[in-house]
Amino acid sequence: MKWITGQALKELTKEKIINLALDNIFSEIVFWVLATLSIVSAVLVIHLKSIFRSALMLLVSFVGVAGIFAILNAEFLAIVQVLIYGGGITVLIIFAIMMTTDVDQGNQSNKIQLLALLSAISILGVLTYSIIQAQWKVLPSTLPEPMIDVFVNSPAYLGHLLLNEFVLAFEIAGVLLLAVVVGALSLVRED
Amino acid sequence: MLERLLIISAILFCIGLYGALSRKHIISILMSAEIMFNAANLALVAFSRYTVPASYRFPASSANPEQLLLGGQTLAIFVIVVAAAEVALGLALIIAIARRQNTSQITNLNFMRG
Repeated sequence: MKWITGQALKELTKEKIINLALDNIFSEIVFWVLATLSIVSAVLVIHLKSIFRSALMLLVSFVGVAGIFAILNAEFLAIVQVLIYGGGITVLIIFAIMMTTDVDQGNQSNKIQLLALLSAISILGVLTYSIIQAQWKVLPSTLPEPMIDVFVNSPAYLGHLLLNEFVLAFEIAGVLLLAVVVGALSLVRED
Repeated sequence: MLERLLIISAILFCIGLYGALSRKHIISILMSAEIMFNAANLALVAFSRYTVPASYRFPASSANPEQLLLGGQTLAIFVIVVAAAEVALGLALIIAIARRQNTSQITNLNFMRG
């Protein structure tokens, strides 16, 4: 594992070609299948009548996004997504559904459904227009060796970052989780 | 490539927004919020993978330049932590409300109205 030096940064243009993901037809197909899967199952989360089934569809959507993370060279995030969202949050939601809901009531919509649909579509239109219009500073398709090393060995670099530059946020996240455990236990306690 | 990832992220965000605004069930609203968190994470990872950090044009300023490339992924990790905390606390609140009020539809939860 090599660290990027200032010298390597200056050689940004004349480096050898190493192909990362998303450069051939097969990964294109995999990408579109995953994107369609996550979007369709997210629509089904909203649309299904049974709230238990929509929790299962939420799991499918999370796994689809985890696959897109893996294509984007974020392996650690893909694994964390499957572990925490797929393994933790979905199971917690299913437990809460089984503990609270009277299942026959279903997943009804409220009075402002049409207004909500219109506002969501208009926000989507504005976002899409601004994404297409913006001038992004995109990385070149052939990256220099140290940047390839960062993307390929991203878990090691992420661990280094979390325990050096962002160690204060890391500790605060630990305190937050402790507070959440104490708060959740005191909320659901029978008294 | 960056644009289509961002558009997919925007589509997921708007699906979550529509669900959070238009559903009656508390757990359904919580799931819509999770979809929105997921869309934000997707946008963060896409930016982290495809855009040039600003300091890359002035390379002398940073001691550890790899943080410029992985900053988006680090922020996504913290977003996941906060989302997990939010779900745990939100479900505890939902269980407490369901135990006292015996309902889980937000239209029935208007006991703070004057």
